[in-house]
Amino acid sequence: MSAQFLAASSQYIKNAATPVTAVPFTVGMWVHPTTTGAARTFFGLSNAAVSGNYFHFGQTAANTWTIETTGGAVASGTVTANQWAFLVARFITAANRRLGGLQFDGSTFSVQDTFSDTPATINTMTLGTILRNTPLNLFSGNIAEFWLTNTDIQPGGAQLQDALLRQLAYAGPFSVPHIAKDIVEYRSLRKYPSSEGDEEGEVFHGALGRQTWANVNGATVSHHPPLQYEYARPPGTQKPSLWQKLLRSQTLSQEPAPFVQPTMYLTQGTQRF
Amino acid sequence: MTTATPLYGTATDLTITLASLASDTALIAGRQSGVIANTTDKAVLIDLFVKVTTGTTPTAARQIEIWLAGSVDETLFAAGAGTSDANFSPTGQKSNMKLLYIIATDSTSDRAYQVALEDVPVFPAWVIFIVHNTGVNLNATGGNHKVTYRTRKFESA
Repeated sequence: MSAQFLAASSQYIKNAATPVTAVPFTVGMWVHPTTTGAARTFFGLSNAAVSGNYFHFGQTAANTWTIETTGGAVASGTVTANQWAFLVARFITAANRRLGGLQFDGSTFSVQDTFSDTPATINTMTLGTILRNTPLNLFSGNIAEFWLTNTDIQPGGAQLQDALLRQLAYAGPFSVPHIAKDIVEYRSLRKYPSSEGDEEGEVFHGALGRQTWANVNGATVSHHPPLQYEYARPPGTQKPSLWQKLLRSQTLSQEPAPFVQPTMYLTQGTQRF
Repeated sequence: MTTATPLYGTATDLTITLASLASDTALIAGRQSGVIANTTDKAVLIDLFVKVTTGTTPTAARQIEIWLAGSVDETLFAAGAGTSDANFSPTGQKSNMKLLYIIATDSTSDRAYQVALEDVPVFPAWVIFIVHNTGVNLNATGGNHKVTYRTRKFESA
């Protein structure tokens, strides 16, 4: 499942106490637009009460991927309706923002904006819109596997390495230790769009604490992007492998009962299972 | 002290004809393998090796996808896959299979991409599905492609 938004119903989810208010920060997510030909926002970070002061990334009316702040915008790649794409948006410094992505056909793109801009008094994070005094660029489609760090994930602010981009897409941010340690929040969006459905393994909160997301106008859940069978879940929530379960059961079955002489087990020979 | 160790079966090639497999920009029309019935092997886990060789002058920045379609009753398979080595198009339900791996490809002709996968999910019966969008047919020589599996059980002593 993934969070599903319908622009016509003004659906989005909102964290009105964003843990991140300034650069550097990195956002990753899978997106599945169901419409093209209009500007849409996937992720927004803004002062919700004013029309200026924001960061966001999304799609343009020209069907390209875009990363923007109040004063600058760049775009690249091709948005294809009804196909999953994986995006990593890096807001690195005031004069360095990068958007990279893995498109449905295996091609990648990367774009950089060097316009100097420092949005201020940021207070709200959104998925499915950018709040600029009012919800704008409402999104129609799906978002899944959202994660956020309060760092830049590529040393030196350089273009994201292709291999790292693919690893993040198919194995997840928890598969990369130097990124996993900085995750502020992860939301699979598999079961619930917002916080009333938070459960272990589907959300993760780092050192900045639990985040609360509200569902505005009834965003729902729908299909999830296909992820590799070894996709890494949050630490401590990964289901034990069958190998680990068998080891555990074997260990328990071999533990001597109280007051039983351990030499009894030496005669059991080789067991196969 | 009890020690548990893996017990490997014999490395076995799947029957799947990948030579000259056509490219599909939609990544739907591909090739499935013949069925592997785990009711005989009774593997706890399987490890898989896949070798796929691209054709002549493929398009840069494309991919080869490897999926697994499982079956509970050895008759009905995920995404409607069959039981024989054949062309297969899981139209509208490719994601009902399990994604094992996506190989990123480049424009190099006749490059052999090789990947080894451990702890692949096991069903009572299963098939492998491979599809690509490299822009040209895969390499025409059968020996330049290979899908091999090896069962894994455990023994303790």
